[in-house]
Order: sequence, then C-alpha cells, then structure tokens
Amino acid sequence: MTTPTEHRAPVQDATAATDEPTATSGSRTTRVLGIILFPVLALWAYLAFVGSPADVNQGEVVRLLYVHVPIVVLAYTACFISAIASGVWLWKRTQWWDLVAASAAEIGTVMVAATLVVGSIYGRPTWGVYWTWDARLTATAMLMLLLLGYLAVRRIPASTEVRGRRSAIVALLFVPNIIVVNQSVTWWRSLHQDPTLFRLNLSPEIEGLMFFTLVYSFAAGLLFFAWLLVHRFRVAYLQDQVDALGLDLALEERREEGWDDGWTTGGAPS
Amino acid sequence: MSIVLATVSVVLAQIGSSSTQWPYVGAGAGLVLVGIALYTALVLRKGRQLARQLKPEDRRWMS
Repeated sequence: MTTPTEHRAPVQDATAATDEPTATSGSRTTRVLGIILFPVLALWAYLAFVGSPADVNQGEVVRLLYVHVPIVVLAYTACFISAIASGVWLWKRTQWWDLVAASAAEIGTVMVAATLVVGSIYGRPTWGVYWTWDARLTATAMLMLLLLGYLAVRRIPASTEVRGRRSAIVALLFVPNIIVVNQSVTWWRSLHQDPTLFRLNLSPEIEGLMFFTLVYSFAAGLLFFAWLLVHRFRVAYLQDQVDALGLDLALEERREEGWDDGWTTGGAPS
Repeated sequence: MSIVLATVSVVLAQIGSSSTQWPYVGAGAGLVLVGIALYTALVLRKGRQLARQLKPEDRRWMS
C-alpha cells in the first residue's frame, strides 16, 4: 500500500523542475506591454489630475470623469467579450472560449464594482447623494448582481461541460443588461447625465484638453485591460492544468489502491 | 473697493469649493485605483504560484 505522499511526488518533481524566475503567467509580449503601460498610465494620471482644467460647473470633481467613464467602458468591453466568448463556446465547445469568457467576466466584475464605487463618490458632490434608485444606477447594480451570479455558477461543483454550459447561458444575459444600462438615461427620466461623448448627433459635450484626456483615458484603459485579460486568461488556463494534474494523480492513487486491494486481479476490495 | 471685495470673495469661494472637492477626487480615484492594483497583484501572484506547479511544456504561451 502506498501513501498519498508518495503519489504526490510527481507534482513535487514538477515544482522543483519549474522553480525558476520565468515560471509566471507572463511572456515576452506581456512584459513589453507592461513596460509600455508605465509611461502610458503616468501620462494619464498627469492629464487627469494635473494637466486638464477644472470644469466650469463641476469644478475639480470633474477629474473623476477620467476614472469613472473609462472604467465603465472597460466593464462593458469585458462583459461583451465574455458574452461573445460564451456564445462561441456554446457553438464550438472548446476550453479556450470558456476560459476567455470566465476571465473577462471576472475582470468585468471588478470594473463594475469600481464603477459603482467611483460613481457613488462622484454623485455626492454633483447630485448631493451617494446613491439613489435611479434607472442607470439600478441597472448597473443589476449588472453587478448578474456578474456575481456568473462567478457563483462557475463555482458550483460540476463537470467542465456542465459548468461551461451553465455559465455561458448566464453570460449571454450580460448583453441585454448592458443595453438597458446604456440606454437607461434616454429611456427614463434620470438623475444621471446624458452621454458625454457617444451622442446621436456626433457632437460631444466636451472639447479641448478635456476631450483629449477623456479619449486618452479610454486608450490607456483598453491597453491595460488587454494586458490584464491575457494574464487572467493564462491563470485560468494554468488552474485547469493544475486541476487536471491533481485529478490524474488522484486517479493514479485509486488505481494503485485497486491494484493493492486485488481489483485488477478479480478479487474483492478488503 | 467693492470690485476688489467682490473679486476676493469670488476667489475665496473658488478656493473653498475646490478644497471641498479634492477629498472626493482623492477618495474616488484612490479607492478604485488601489482596488484594481490589488486585483492585478493577486492575478500575477496566482499565475506565479500555478506556473511553478507545472512543467514548462504544460504552460504554453508563457516563457
């Protein structure tokens, strides 16, 4: 009879074999992108908090616009990627798309939570309240609950196939929810301001350095998002690999036990 | 004299309003950026922990 410790030896060997500084979720591309991100984000911080002027009506608090709006766009992007990847998974049924959907959804959850936090703080000096059951805010809170539901569904013990199907169906609901969030300010009377950039008459309500700072914030945010999504995807891939390795070892243990107990020779286990 | 007083009062009002707004800017941006930075650090740390449990051939795309 062998002990579980003996069976875990291959993992320990693997650990020893890969105990090197390069054993990370990074690659040459992500390292280059990460290095590029430092000056890009530094310039964003300068423009957002120092370089751009204060607003005539909102004053200095307008600087939260350069944090709030890009994070909302990243949240939308993450949710759309998750929904599209889930749709493709339902069609192709390959692990890659399932992991993309899960990674994007987790980042989307963080971004929507950040949106709600910075939005509430932005609301206090501009509206006089941190929170109100306004259409835009309520729809965003519903999106947050949906994302948390998605993450909860993925944690329910199930086979990869069942987990993928359940979570893909939940992810498809992100799209109608985002449409409601985005259009809520036009469909209902809302305390939240109308769109600043993406207006139907293609005439943004912001100009000059403030306009540039906002557009630059989108670009910097999307670059950061791409870098983070690649890393998060690789972590999900590595997690699946480690889980599969653990499962292989457990199966090997059971086989050894079965052998010891006489299963393979036709005898009954003791 | 009244013009000077009016100008001073406008400037003081501007300073007063902006000084009450900066805490909101600091709190909003600070909380969110620290939160996202923490999440990013957790993702990178998890990646490092998992990568070390696997052989190089089991972690494609990473080098």
